[in-house]
Amino acid sequence: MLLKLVWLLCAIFAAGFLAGLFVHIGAQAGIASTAWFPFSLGLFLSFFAFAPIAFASRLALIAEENHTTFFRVCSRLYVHDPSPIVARSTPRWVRGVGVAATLYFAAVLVAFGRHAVPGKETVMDKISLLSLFCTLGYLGLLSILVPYLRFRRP
Amino acid sequence: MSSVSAARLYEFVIDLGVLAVGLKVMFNNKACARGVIEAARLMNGIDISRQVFLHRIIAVVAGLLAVLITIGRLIRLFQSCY
Repeated sequence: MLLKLVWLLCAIFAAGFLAGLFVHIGAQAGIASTAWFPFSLGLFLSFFAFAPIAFASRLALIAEENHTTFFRVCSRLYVHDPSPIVARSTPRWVRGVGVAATLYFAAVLVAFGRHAVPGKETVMDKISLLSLFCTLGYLGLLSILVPYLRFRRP
Repeated sequence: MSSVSAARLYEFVIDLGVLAVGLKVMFNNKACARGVIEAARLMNGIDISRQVFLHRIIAVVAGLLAVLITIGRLIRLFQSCY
């Protein structure tokens, strides 16, 4: 059940990532129109709805793999627990792509801040920034769930 | 008669909450740093357990910023009320 949810989430995140990338490239290349704004806003808002589900799924998978409970794993963030726990890591190259994309996001943000002082931003600027944020966000969510796609119940 | 509206009261309560969190993060920076490091390990699998000192400094600076900003906001709020 949990594994099916993770597969479904990964499919949604991959679609969100590709959609965000497409909209961002469209906005940068001048293909996108202002009618795309509600779509990019929807992508942006849905990221915040999906993120807690993805985090909780990952914690549940870690708990299952380490023969412990979900709340025990959660409590490790607040209470020092010396018992060892194994968490699968994201592939190195995915992390590299994430870092590169974050730097690109920072560059776009600086460019946005320089040419669109408050009140001068256009709808295309907003579409570009929102979709780039979605691309990064969905990539991050994908990278936390993908290591658990080949999950074997111990 | 003071003009304390519901919106100002709401702002005051939110500011107090942020102030409390800022103080907690500032004075309990060791636990915060450990929590962040454990969260990074659980969420990404990366081990940054050697960077406790760096994360403690970040926690202190972030908490201090939150405290200073909310105190400034509270002073302005009181000035606008009375």
